[in-house]
Amino acid sequence: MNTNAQALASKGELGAVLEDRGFAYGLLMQAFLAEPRAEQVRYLAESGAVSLFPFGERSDLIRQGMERVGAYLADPENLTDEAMGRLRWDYTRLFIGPDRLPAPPWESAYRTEEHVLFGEETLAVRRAFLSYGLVPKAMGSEPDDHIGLELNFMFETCRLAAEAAEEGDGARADRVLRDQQTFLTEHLLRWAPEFGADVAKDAQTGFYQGMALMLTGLLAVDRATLQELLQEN
Amino acid sequence: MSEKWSISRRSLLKWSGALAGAAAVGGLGAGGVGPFAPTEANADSEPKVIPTGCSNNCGGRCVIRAHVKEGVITRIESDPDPDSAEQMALRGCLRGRSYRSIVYHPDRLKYPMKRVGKRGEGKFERISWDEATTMIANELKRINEKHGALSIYPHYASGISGPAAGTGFIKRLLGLYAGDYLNYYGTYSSGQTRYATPYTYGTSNSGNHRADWVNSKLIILDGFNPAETVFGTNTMYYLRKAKEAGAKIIVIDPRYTDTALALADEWIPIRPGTDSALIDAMAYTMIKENLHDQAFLDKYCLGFDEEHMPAGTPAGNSYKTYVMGQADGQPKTPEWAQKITGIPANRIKALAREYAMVKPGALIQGFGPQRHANGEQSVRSATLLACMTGNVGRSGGHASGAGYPPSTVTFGGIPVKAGTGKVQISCFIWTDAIVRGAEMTAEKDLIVGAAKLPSNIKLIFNLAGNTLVNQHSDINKTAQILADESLCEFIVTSDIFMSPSAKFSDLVLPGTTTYERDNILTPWGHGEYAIYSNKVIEPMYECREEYDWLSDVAEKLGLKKEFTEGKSLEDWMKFCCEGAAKAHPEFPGFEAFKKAGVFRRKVAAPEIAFAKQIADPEKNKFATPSGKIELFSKALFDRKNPQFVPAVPKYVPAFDGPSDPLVEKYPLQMTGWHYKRRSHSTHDNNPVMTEAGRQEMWINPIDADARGIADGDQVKIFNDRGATLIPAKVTTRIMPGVIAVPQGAWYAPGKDGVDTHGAINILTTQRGSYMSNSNPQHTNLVEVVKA
Repeated sequence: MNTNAQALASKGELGAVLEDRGFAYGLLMQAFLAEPRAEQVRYLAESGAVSLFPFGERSDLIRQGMERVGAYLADPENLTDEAMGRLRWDYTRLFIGPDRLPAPPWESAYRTEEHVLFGEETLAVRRAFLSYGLVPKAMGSEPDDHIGLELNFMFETCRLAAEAAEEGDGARADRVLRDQQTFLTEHLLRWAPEFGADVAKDAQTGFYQGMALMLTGLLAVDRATLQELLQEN
Repeated sequence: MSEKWSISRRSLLKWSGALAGAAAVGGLGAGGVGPFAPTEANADSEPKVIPTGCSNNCGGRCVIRAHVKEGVITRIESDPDPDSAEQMALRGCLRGRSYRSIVYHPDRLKYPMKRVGKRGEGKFERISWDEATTMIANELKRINEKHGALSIYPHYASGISGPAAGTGFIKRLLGLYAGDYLNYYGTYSSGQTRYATPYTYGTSNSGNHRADWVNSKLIILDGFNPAETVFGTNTMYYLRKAKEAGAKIIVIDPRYTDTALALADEWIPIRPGTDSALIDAMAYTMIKENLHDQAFLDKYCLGFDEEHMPAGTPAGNSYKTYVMGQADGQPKTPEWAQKITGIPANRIKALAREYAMVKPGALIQGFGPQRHANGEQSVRSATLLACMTGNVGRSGGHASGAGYPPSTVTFGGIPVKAGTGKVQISCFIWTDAIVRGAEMTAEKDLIVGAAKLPSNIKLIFNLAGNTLVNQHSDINKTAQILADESLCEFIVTSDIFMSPSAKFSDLVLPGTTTYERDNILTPWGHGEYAIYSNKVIEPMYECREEYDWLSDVAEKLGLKKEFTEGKSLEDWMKFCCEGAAKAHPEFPGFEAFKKAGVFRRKVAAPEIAFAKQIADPEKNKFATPSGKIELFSKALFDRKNPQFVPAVPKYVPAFDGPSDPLVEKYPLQMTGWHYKRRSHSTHDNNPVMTEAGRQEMWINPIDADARGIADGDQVKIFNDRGATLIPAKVTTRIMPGVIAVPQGAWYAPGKDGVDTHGAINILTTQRGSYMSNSNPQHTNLVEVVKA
């Protein structure tokens, strides 16, 4: 039994795919995990990293999101200290509070019947993290199923799969990809599209509106990608 | 396959590319185990059951058992103990059982936040605890130096009660640092009755133990609705026992309450704020028909008739003279009272005869009748009627008034510096004290402990309270006062949510829920027990107990040693338990109490308030100036305000009441009630409770039809102070001419300033009640239109 992933790995081509995926997850993880910092936003504007976001050709949502974020970063008005304050407030009100959160960034908030945190989902996510020795820094005091952490998990496991591929261990890479597929279908895809829609609707800046579109687009594309990679060759 | 992957190579942007410029903040980290090896981090996964409690301030306190697995609360149950004839389990209601939805609510306050927009605008920025406590220390220093200690006000708050609450600790710190602080007296729950009841009896502990109710033949519940307000865990149980034993139960209330639904043989609807008129007419009937207990009045009471007045009082000031109309020419007949109360004269007469002749009888007043502009009179009137029927100090009777039982379980409190907190305002007039505190006097504004205040309020500590905006009267006026940053210069709130009050703060600190802290819980008075509420989980996010961050503030003020005495919060709990051990010999000690979760005081027989005074009045005086029950109070007489603060109980028409000329403009009386879906404003955002009970206004079909309002319609309630939107419940469970809005919904103004969530206090007044300057939040006139 040989999968496409293994076939690509043997040709030394899997790494590139994983790099693309990891890049996408990493960039979004950065956007959603914590409040924006000026140097981070300026780096994105200067490096053009957003324009290099992969899979645009496969997803209208990704293209729209890239345009939205790109336009935001291209406007020097949005890079002033005052604009950084506005961007920070956008993140704060969307994901921290102190008022009612328009887009609570936790899986359990979307998936439990009463929209409360620390549901069964949270513990399942925790177990997925721990099975890779990945421990949320605030485990116990904050829910494990934060969007930033779930994206972080995908990012880290892309890296691990790439390591395995580089070492020529196609079977190990395969196992990681299967775990990613499980995590994606059992967690991220179950709530993040709805979350993304809420962010796109409620965000006051093109930055977060666009990032939300890219998020929703990426998850759909990555489902197909993983399916293809794990198909028998 | 590889041609599918038309990847533009990004030599500069590989793995690190997406992350460049970003330090890792709160992400995933390697757990110190190999990347593919499962970790042992779940060693603590054996489920545990931890005894804790429900401390929502409904008057009861209930036992909760929290099931915890992997550090997560998975399930809540209440007291598992079986009921017995001697002892009822302390089981919580849906509020307590759904508290998990509060603890794990996505909208919890998570980090310290400082205001960045205008005050009240709602813009905040996350800051560190170090910045937050530095800011508090600096502001405390600045304001203390500029305006003095009495400009600093620890605000009324009941979100967390018990010795671990922040209020005790902030008072301790202020005593140590500033030498004093501005204190308050009274409560938003029972301000009028706690003030008025002692004028009659010398104490507010005027109630028989609930287990004695079973000995009553007649129970009259005047504005008493424990089915929703709870009042003390299991209060409904004791009423049901009384009913089963044969007591007739009559409910007097503008609403056909859940208590009436469950227990009443009869419902007598009454216009809000007119209880004294009903009682005057009952007294009149009793006197006319010679049904009253003259011997009791002669022996124990002062002021019923001209023959029993304090020496030197001018003639014509006794209650009898007033009620028979000999002073003002208006006998307080049932016909007179019918016009005021809306109760048919014949029903008033029958009720008078019933209460005078069916003995023993208990006239039990809730806190609704006293939360009025003239609420103190309702209280004093009810105590008078209990005396007229000789129901005081006897089993099956009830002295009425505040009705707290004669003894409860007591603990030690957090010690404050001797002599501090003596200067006090009524807890209701703090907004006024922000605007014109320096003009306030003992005589005019009922300041206690000083002839006048030296300063306006300049700094507010609002620790676990929503009375800063939501639960205080006249939200629009309050918001306007607080928005002026030159008046009150600094406001600190610690809470678990961004309540409407927190929104008007300069610094918002994330507090801990009941499950994230140790505390000792005692009910308002009804129930001889205490609960040790154990910490179930560690504080979430960056939430901290008040004691914890106040210790940091103390350190920055150079007072950490003095403030903490090296004690942890648990050490303070131990300290408080020493007080309990002194008061109750059977108290098992801290460790055993903590482990069991409950301490029950042994009570030989249900206590009867004033039994000793009635048995031997010579030896046991009432704690009044005269040593007797004072139906006439010389102290009130000396206030020289007979129209509004009479020396004997009288029906005093309320401002904003049914006889105020304002009824021409606003023809409906509006009363609030304590809805079972909340405890005050707590649980308003609890999804479980939101599903359990809709925020809605009750209106009689007669009033609804006249306004074209159908059941379920969205309506606007308004008066000169503001307006709110709310769905209507058209029901005959409320009398015509009166609407009811459940209090506690969170103020949610729309763009036009109209509240959109049925927040009653957009309509209530900041004018204090006549006698005690307390909150008259059930005395309102409004109009309603279809929205």
